[in-house]
Amino acid sequence: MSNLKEEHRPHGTAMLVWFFFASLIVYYLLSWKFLTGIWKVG
Amino acid sequence: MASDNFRVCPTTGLKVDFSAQTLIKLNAFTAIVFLLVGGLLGLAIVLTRWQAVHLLTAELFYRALTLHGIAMLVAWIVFFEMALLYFTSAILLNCRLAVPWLGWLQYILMLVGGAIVTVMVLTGNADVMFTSYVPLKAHHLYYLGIVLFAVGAILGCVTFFATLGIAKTEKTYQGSVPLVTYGAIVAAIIAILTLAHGAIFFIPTWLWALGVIPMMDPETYRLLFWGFGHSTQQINVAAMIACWYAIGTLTVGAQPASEKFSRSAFALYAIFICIASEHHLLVDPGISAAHKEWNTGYFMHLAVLASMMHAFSVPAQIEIALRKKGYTKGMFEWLKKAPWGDPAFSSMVFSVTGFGFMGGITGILYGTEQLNIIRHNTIAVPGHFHATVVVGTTMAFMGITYYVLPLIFQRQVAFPTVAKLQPYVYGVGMWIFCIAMMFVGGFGVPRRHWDITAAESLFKGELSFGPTVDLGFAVVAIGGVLAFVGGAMFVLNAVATVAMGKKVNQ
Ligand code: HEM
Ligand SMILES: [Cu+2]
Repeated sequence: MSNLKEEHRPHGTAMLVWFFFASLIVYYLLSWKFLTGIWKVG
Repeated sequence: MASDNFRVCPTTGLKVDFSAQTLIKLNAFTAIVFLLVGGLLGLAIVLTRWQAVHLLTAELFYRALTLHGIAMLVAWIVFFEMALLYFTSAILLNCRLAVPWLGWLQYILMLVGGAIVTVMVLTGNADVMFTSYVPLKAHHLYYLGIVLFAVGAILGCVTFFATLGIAKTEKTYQGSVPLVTYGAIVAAIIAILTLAHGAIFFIPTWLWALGVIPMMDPETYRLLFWGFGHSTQQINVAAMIACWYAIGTLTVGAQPASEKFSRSAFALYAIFICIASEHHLLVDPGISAAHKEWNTGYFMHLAVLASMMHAFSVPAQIEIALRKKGYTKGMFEWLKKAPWGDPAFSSMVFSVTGFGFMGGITGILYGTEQLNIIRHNTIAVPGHFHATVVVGTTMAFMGITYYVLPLIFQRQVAFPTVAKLQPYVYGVGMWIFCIAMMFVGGFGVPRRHWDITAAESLFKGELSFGPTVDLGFAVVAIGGVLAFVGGAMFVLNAVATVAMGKKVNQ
């Protein structure tokens, strides 16, 4: 892949992949209260 | 071998061995017939689970559910995989098929085995679901049918590997095998391992049904069954991903972004995937918690890693190919200009996204010890696996069929407009169906259940899941019916093409 011309590199896919991971992080941040709550059980 | 056993494909320039071609046709066509049978049963089942319609009687419901599982998960998928094995060995490697009579034996054994099983279920001799958990007992011929089918599948794998050997010694290809063939090799390796696993418990169960063995242990049976049953799903995953790469090449001329990267991902499957089988046994008392956690936690993620690698490289290779065609404006011109009207392409996109986002993520969730305890045996589980094995595997196989028809059957697709729309109808229907089932499962609604209102039971009126679940099931039914229509569009188009499609010029 390294020998690809700049305009042929899969930037769109890379962006979608980053978006996917970013959404996971946002999801974890949003459920932070819930996640920390687990340790208070029992 | 004499050259008159070949024809040269006018589109690809590949030599097509006639016995390979016939076997591909037979296996693919038989697969599609079973898809039709299973689809009709699926419609009847979903219209029974929708309590407002409640179509079938209790007995017929379980019979239909048993045959649906077998016709779909066993017959449609495995017959199609046999066609793929011959395609990725003999055709893609430009080679003759090794030992054609072994291929024929594969087909005959699987057909006879499949027929025996179907007749046993239809005549009410095997209302045991496709899992046939002991002590549920079917007629002994049912197990014999399964064993014959499995032996046939093993012979298919043997023919595949023998063909690879011939291709190598006769140097019919240069360098290493193509990536698609590599994926099929991984599928076939897992298949042989899995089918051997299957023999370990299906043969004793058969003997038990015959009265030779006095007793079967249910926990041992479940452990061995899922050692087989889970791993078979990985054959499907490997075969499906091989189809993704193949469709990428066939539709937009994509080449693997990195051969090493994709091959390593396939290799991870072969090494780690068989290990996560115990996610089916997370609520079983017979296995220790530590054992379950090792099995379904640490080891499984190495296989999941492989899926994520493919999930990056498949879209990347398509993007690169489309950018090379000149669609380089902005981030996403390539996505807009992709061949959305090509049914193979749109099927593949549904397959990648449905398998990854809907099937894969829910699979990881439901497969953890903590969540499984509230999802086990609810209807959320069929919701999950229709996302993997239907939106994922089935749609990938449907997609590649649109190329198998002109290339191998040498017929132009009979109704191109129907073909264009079919993946959208089927895919959207299945998305609705799966999400609604997972939603309803969240309320604890059981799977494999004829009547969740328990109207004919002793504890009348006490079992109610409330109006949200009723509404949810209506959505399940809408999705299911839509998917049935999409499935019918595929099957009828394929059959019409084989019967009366215009011949492709030779
Ligand atoms: C139009 C398409 C389809 C519809 C409407 C449909 C519908 C259903 C429904 C309603 C259930 C029963 C859920 C329950 O009560 O437990 C079910 C189970 C199942 N389906 Fe499908 N299905 C379709 C296609 C497929 C395909 C293509 C496959 C496999 C490739 C498949 C494999 C299975 C399996 C393995 C089961 C589980 C059977 C069991 O619990 O023993 N289905 N399906
Ligand atoms: Cu599994």
